[in-house]
Amino acid sequence: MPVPVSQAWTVASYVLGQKLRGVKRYPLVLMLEPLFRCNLSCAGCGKIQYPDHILNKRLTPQQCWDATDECGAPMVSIPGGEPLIHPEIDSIVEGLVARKKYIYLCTNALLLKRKLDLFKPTKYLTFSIHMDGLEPEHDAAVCRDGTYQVAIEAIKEAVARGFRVTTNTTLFEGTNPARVREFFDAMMKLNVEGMMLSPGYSYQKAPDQEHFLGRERTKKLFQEILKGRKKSWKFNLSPNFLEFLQGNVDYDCTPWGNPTYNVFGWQKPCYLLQDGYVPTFKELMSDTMWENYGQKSGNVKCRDCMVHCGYEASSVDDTFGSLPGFARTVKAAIAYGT
Amino acid sequence: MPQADKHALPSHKPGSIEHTTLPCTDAASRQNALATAFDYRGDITLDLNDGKKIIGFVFRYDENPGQVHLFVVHGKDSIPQIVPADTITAVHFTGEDTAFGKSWDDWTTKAEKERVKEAARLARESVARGEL
Repeated sequence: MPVPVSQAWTVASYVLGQKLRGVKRYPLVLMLEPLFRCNLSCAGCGKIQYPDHILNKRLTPQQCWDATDECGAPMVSIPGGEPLIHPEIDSIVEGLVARKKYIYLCTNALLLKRKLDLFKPTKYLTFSIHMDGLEPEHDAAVCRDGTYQVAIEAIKEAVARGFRVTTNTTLFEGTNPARVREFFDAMMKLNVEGMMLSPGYSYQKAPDQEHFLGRERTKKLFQEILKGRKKSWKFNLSPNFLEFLQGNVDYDCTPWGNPTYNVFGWQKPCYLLQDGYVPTFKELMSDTMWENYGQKSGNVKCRDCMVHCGYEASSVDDTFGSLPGFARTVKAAIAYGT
Repeated sequence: MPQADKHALPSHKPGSIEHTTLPCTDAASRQNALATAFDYRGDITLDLNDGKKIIGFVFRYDENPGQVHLFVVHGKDSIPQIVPADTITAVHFTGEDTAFGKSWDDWTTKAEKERVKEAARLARESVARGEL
């Protein structure tokens, strides 16, 4: 099982608690962006195109902890920007660990080896390393040669020191399924805990729209990648989400499942779309016209999206929403070894 | 000639709205100008009806009540400020359009030599900021 039993138990009891209380919309993972500045400049990225005075802004540790308390989700993902640039990232993480939150610190790993001493291995902290494929594909995707090798060295070091490490891979138009399968083998040889996968983020304001996968292309690609999957491959994803990516089960989006907080406030409605910001989590949940989002709403911005921040929460909700949903999860979990 | 074109300044980047102006002469033109400002990935300058100017980055625009939320530039930093929409008479797209020319296609159509040079420049900038 790629996640500790305590994490699975925490998430399961949290979701069941929400269900028993009749809460229809609840957050599962807080997307905490403490800064937008990155030390890579990947072409097509929609997260880093801002004036310098915005890129220089940092959430304080207290702002991060307050947002976490306000949201209440059991897991916190820290993307960005590059979180390891934040001068107080160790303090932010320490405060979240003290709150017993399961943290996924998403990093390109360029600074990881240098900054590992700032952190202590704990079941609550996972380094989620951005790896978009084998060396040529990854270096091309991040627009800088040498990045793959730096990340590999950092993964080895982090694993050796007893940290939880996963990889986080985004797939775009033109991905070669056979190369992705080779990539899975390479990552598992590094003894990472599991791999996260998602089709490309169709950021509304991303300067690149053509290379994001359409819905049918996404399903076909994931079917080809996961066909006759190897037992050695471990995925740090809900098994039903992998089924969803292959078109074996259909979900609508759960945009409130991964609420996003950054230097502008709480982002409406989700991690990908920027329809505005509100100062409190309560306002995000109450003021957002949720029915206007998700594939089934007919919103063209959501038409092709199958990204994990919208649909992983849907698959987890399905697991605990009904007996057939739970049975689907058990069956898929056995198949994927998750 | 549409009003927007009449007031537009020539853009030095073909296809970008950088260095153009959208006037706010009525509710519809104001709504269009402020929605465009919200979508823009650079600083803008607002002309107010009292003759003042505000320079900043628009991160939120509420149509009802009409309000623009900006990070207003103060030296190298910026601070949040709310401006009532009905006090705005024009929006100038004065800051660099930071998303322009940053698509995957823009990157891949550059010559290899140019890509290597740009990657090296960006890496140097990150090192200079202490981020690498």
